[in-house]
Amino acid sequence: MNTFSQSIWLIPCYALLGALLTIPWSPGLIRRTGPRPAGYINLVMTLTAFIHSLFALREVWSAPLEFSVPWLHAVNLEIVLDIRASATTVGALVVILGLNALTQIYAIAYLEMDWGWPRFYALLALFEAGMAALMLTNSLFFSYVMLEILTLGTYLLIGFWFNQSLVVTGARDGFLTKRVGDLVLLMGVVALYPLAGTWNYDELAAWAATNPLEPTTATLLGLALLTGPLGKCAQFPLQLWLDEAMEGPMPATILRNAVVVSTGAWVLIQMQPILNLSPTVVTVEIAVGAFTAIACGAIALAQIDIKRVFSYATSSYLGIVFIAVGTGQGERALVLLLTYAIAMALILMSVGGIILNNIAQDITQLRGLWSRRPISGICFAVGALSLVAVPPLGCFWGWAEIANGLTPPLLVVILLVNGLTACSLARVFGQLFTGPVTPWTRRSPEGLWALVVPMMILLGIALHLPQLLILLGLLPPLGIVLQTPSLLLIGSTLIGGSIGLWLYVGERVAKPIRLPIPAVQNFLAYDLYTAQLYKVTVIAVVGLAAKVVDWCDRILVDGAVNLVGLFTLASGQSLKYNTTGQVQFYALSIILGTILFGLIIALPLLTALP
Amino acid sequence: MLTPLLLIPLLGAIAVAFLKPQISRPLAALSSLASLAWIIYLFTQFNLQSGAIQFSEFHRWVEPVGLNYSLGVDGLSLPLLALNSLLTLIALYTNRNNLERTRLHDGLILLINGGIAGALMSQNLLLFIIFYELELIPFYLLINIWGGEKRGYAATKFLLYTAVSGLLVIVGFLGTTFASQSPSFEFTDLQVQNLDLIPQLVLLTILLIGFGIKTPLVPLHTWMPDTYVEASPATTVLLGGIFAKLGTYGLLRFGLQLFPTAWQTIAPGLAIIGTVSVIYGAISAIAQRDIKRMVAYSSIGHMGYILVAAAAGTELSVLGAIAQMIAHGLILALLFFLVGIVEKTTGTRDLDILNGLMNPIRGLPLTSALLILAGMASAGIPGLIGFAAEFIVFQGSFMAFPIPTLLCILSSGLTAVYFVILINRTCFGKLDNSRAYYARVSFSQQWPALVLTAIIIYFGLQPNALLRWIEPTTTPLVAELHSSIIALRE
Amino acid sequence: MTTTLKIPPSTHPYAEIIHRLEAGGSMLPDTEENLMQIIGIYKAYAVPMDFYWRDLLYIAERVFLDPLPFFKYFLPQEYLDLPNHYAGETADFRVWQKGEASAHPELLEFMDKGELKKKLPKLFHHLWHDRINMEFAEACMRAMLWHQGMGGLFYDYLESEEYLGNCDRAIKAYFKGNPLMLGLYKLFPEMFYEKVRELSYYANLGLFWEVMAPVFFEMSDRYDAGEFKTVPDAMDFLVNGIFIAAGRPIYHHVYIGDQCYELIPKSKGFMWLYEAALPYVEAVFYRTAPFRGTKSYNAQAQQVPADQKDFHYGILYADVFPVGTAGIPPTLLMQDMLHFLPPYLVDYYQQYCRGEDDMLIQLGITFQRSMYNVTSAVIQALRTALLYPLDDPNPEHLRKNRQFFEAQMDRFLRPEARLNDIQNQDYR
Repeated sequence: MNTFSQSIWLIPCYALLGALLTIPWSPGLIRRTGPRPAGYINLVMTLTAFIHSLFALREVWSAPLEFSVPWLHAVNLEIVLDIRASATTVGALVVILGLNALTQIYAIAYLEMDWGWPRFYALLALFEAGMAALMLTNSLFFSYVMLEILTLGTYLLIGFWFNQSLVVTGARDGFLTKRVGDLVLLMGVVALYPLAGTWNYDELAAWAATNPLEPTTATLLGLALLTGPLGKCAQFPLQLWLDEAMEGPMPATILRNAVVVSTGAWVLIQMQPILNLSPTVVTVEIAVGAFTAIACGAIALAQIDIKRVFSYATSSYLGIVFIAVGTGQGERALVLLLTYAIAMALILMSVGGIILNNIAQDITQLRGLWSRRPISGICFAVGALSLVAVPPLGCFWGWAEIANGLTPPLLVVILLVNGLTACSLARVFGQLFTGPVTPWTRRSPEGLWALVVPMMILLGIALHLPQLLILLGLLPPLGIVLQTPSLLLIGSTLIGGSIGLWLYVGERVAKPIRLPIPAVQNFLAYDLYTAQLYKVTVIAVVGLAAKVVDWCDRILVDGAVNLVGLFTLASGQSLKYNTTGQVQFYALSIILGTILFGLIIALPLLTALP
Repeated sequence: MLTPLLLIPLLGAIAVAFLKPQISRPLAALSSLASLAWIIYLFTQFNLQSGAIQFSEFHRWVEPVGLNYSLGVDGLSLPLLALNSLLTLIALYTNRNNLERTRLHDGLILLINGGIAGALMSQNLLLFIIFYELELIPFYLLINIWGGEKRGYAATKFLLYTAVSGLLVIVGFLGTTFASQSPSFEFTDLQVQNLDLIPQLVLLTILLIGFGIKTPLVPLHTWMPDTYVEASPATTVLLGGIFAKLGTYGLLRFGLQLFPTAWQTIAPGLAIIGTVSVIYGAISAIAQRDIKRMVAYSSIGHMGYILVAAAAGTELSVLGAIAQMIAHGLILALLFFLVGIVEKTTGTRDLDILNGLMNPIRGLPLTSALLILAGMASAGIPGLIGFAAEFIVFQGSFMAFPIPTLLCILSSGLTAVYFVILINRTCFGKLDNSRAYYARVSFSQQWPALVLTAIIIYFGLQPNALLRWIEPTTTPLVAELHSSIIALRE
Repeated sequence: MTTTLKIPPSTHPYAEIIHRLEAGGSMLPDTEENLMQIIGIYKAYAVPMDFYWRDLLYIAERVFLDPLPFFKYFLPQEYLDLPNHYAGETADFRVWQKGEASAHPELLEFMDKGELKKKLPKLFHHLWHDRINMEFAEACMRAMLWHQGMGGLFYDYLESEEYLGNCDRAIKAYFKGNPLMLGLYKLFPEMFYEKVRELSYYANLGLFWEVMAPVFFEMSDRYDAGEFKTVPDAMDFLVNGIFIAAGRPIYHHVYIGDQCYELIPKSKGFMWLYEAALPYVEAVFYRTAPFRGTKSYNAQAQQVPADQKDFHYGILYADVFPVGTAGIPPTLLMQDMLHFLPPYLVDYYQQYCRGEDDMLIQLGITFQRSMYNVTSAVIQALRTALLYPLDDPNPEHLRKNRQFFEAQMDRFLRPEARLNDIQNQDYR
């Protein structure tokens, strides 16, 4: 019996159907009653998909399933939608759909005052469908397609509160940054096909094993392919969008930080055999990962906006994943991503509840909540402990396994990142839950059941993650705890965490803490001035080019014709746009254009002449 | 089989002109629907096994000159014919803003339909010229009578440029026929291979410039932004959606198909022009403050893809070129249609004034949603026809011209840039309180956009539904191109 | 204009409005159109308000600390019949002359059949979102709970030993036989107290609105009977209402089984005017919280003020045009009022803008106008209570009055204030 795995293609379709069913609540259609049914429908669809994926997981556990659906056939181009339902892919589906379902319940409370449910839930469904399809597809081409869909989804979802100006710029930057990554990936996708003749990951891996490319080609191709995940995973220098994406609603943030950014890593893991063809690419991959991990870890420490602390923590974690994948530890990276997703979602749910009724994201204003918000506090603490290397909780196992496979320099990097993360989590915890109450936190009751229940479920999952890992056969041998790198990791957690707690629990140190060199603090607080970096580079270049070309277009191509006409026409007629019959000018411009055109066409011929 | 496609719009135009003005639009719509229905019938009869001209009709007409009534279609022209009739219908239902002289307006639109259909079907060079020149007059009138403020300027510029285009095409055709000593002006009778390479190159260049003006390609494009902006929305839908496609159609039919050897020689140059057009169009669009002008410049960029693909001359790329013509026609028509609604409702096209049209109650939510979709389609987001066509173009051209292709891919990122600017400014943001009193846009004003959207999504999900009609024609066409190269090398 | 004869005219930017207030007028210009609009909207507001106050009390008194309050918006018959203290035969003071003390018939019909106009199970109406948006009432409550420094003693009482002792008894009684929750209470008592404080504000707001609903109903009835001729008439009625109810006690009782637990007994003497009405006006009309749909909470962007008293997002400042969009909470209230608009207001909206299609925004702006009138009543009531009569012969007293009015108007000097907009009839 494999009914559920054979109909696995239904899973993205549930979500899409849910999205379509929100249409009746579009503006102007159902007006007399409210829009909430749109959300309930999507929740039901997600739960259906989740249950389906659970059953499918049981089926594919022993018997993975692959099948293909032809999509496009043109001349010698055959694009086939390869679907692979294995324990890994369906397992990933279960995680994604589960988190989606919890987040959608969470959103019922978080957005209880919002009238934009249909759009929000439809976009979440689009996200869900895109991610589910991405997990299932075994083809680089469709991976690219899904990444693009997710890029579009990001744009629209960040733009959910489109009346707000920072939302608008955030949506813009998120879209364009990710799209740059996607398009460079597309270059790689296009370039790869003539070389390998396939986009199927398995076939690509087999092809790559024959070492078919010369080094330069392999490097260029590899770099192009690497850029897609680079943008998606918010790695340097494309990390800024995740910061701006924090303008979106919290439920979307939970999903984005926990799973959506990880989709880039998922694709990266699948592409790794091709990237391995060039040592340069692998070096770049590891270097970018290491730099991002450390830099974003430090940036997170300097953020005062609580959502941004976690956006940089996310970039930092995915940097570690880049290192892991680059050093050939793709499987372990997946374990880390799984545990990370749950811990991050748990932390963000806890933080979201606090933001919601204390009306602030500024951690200097949020203080002393422990007594009134113990549930949020416990969830945050468990999430934080699961996020860093603390045995036996979730992420420790991934960290330890990866650390054991690293060379000493990289080991130092990951120790540093773990320490920084521990410190920054301790900082947030100390800031939020200890210390004196501020006017912002004096009244802070726990939220509605729809906020608390999903958080509690996730808490349960986070606490039982080690058992789950055992059940899934993903837990490394327990002896790993006593390996030197693991011990070092635990040490770095302790040191980082202690520093954070020492500085931020209670009133030992005056807040806000200022670094001795304000320039460094600002450098970190303002994200290494990446926004300014963009401004003086890419944006300046495109903006200048646009101005120059526009000027050429108006003055040189069109205007010069008129100007020349001014001198040739001694009659002194006024050269206004609205005077018709300036036949000569147009004739002249046509001739000029023609000559230019002819020259360009003839260029290859002329150069070919002896 | 094909004459109805000329007769229906022609009779329709006459009927519209002489019957009551109130029924001019339904009547015109009926006539374009009838030709659309007839084209769909032709699709069912179309032989997918053959790359040859089908449904041929031949009548001698003015024998001394060599002008014959010779019609036929293949996979290159049939989808364009369908696009032509569809966009005619759309244009008739594009907003009319208290349109005056509706009979003349609708009659002219039908004449354009007939003219373009004729040009697409002509298998005789002179007949092609006649149709090619014929639709200039209705367009000139449409721009000059129903255009914007500077309509006179725009119309004159349009007429001059396109007339020169026509002139060059005539010179090219006559030169080709006489120099190659072909027996007639029939397309199939032309024996270009008789010619040496140099005269071939000269003739091809003349034709390229002729069609290049119409397409338009940089640097022959200066008529285009002014014309598109000044023309009424209905006219722009036709101009951008189908009229400009005659240029690329000409490039393929009378350039690539007629002069395979010469084409191959100058292909690198064409690829450069195409790439320049792509980048130039995209970058210019970024600088625009007028949404209609922005969309107009986007069109230059997207036509560049077609030239790159045609220059590459692989089976896939030529297929992609035609698919891109259809895709671009649909998307551009949708964009212009929506921009027309925005302009009519808000009274402005200025990005600095427009804001917050997504507002569900006082804004234009449906128009905004469709505008986002159209922009994304144009920027090549998967799931929409623009992506399918562009991807085939890229994949097909990559082997022949890797660098230009990669540049084209990169500049599709620039496409995203200006569409995001457009959407962010127009649809997102907060509706200004002083401007929050726009009139409502009724559903009846928007359904054509929904039709276009449905088609764009359908072909985006099922590109084979479009490609299957084109492929049988492009494959032999490219085979010929390649055999001529082999011949050249020998 | 008698005042301006005795003391020189104001030089305040809102001088004209200040003079109007001194003449016993309202901030809202006195036109027939305005009167018709505000009375109509009071009526449309009063019907959902009749639900709000009943449900707020139900949650505060009966649902109490239910950890999974799935059905907290499902009002039992008992609370629908709960006699309003300002209407019906049994009233303490009968403000609403013609009405009954139980729930308003239009509300009952809506709860029964909804906009679907079909009698379906309650749960279906609820899931179809064919219901009153209680979430908005809770948001008003939360604004009162969160904002501090708005006067009164209620806020601080919630942290007193006496209150905590009362809570302790009620909590233990409520979770009797539930070791899990009792254990949790043992571990984290503050968490439970905090939830109960929130519930006390449920009661507070419920008791506040219990007064306002019959006041608005009565105003609508009087307008229909032709008794109101001008906007100041309507304002004066509100001022009277405020004084009638000023002394009513604010309390919080919880019913667990048959037992009543007095968390905040009536004997504490918390007065309606100082503990409910004024904090309500301050928290809801002036402050509330920035809408997520229009303001960024990003700490680095600093769009949210650093001080609670600088908050100015209430209905007097709110931009109504984004109503209906995502992230604009007042949409919920506008939607609630949409169901109960009197026919003359519907006809009125039909004539302007997009008619039926943008009624939500049009009525929102009407609501804004009407709340400027309510605020005027509060200002006049405060002036009556704390300062001098408008016709006081002593110029020094009039100067004091002037200072008071000017100080009130200073709050509308922010660019976001809509006071200027509502002077204009074309703002709709």
